[in-house]
Amino acid sequence: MDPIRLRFEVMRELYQSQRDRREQIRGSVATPVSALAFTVFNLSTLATQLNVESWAYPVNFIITLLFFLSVVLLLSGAAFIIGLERGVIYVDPPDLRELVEVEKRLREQGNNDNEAIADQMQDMLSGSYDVAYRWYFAANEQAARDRTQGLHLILFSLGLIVVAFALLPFQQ
Amino acid sequence: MKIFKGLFKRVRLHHKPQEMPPWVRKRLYDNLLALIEEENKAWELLQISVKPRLCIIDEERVVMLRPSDRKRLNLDEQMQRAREDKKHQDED
Repeated sequence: MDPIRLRFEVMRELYQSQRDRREQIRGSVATPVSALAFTVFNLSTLATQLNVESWAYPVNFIITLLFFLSVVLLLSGAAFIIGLERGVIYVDPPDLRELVEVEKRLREQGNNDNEAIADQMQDMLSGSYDVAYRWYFAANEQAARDRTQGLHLILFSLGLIVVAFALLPFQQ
Repeated sequence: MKIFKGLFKRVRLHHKPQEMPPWVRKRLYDNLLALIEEENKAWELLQISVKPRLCIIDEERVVMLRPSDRKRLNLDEQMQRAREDKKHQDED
């Protein structure tokens, strides 16, 4: 295999792997969303048990505080999950019109050897795949981080609800 | 009624950036300027006679900015603003 072809194949492979990874990240959003639904259900159960009227009693105050903290954490987690899909801008390799334009420009430069033109175009595409690969890589890393942070916040919120439930028998 | 129209509207082909509100155009152009920088770096590295020019896509708004559309952007006010902002950022 010649070096031009090798560069092209490697970069295309890397670009394709990042595209596939994006789909995997999108698919894995189901886990934090399920955790979110479960936490909302538990919050609603806790809300029915909450005695806010005697909130000055220490245990009632702690349960109320835990309840509101878990609501804030849950909403923050949800914001991370929503943000994962919002405002992302991607780049893709040149379209057909651009490829035709490039070929035309190369022929205008006095190059009529089809092999040489194909080599130049393949190198141009290798460069495009490299830029697109790094662009996708950054977006995917950001998305994966947002998803993990969102999940952590939701689980932390669920943890606070568990503590609040444990304190419920002692409330006034 | 306008909200419902927007919700149920289906796009057959991508939108052009000129059809988008100013803040969406600004976001696109900021990314475009960063992309042009990366394209130049790839061009210098490969030492080829044609510069790689990529398409830029806003999935949320179904907008595609193709390399052939770039020439038309020079007159866009948002593009000029994005260029100025980039210039200030580079100076800092």
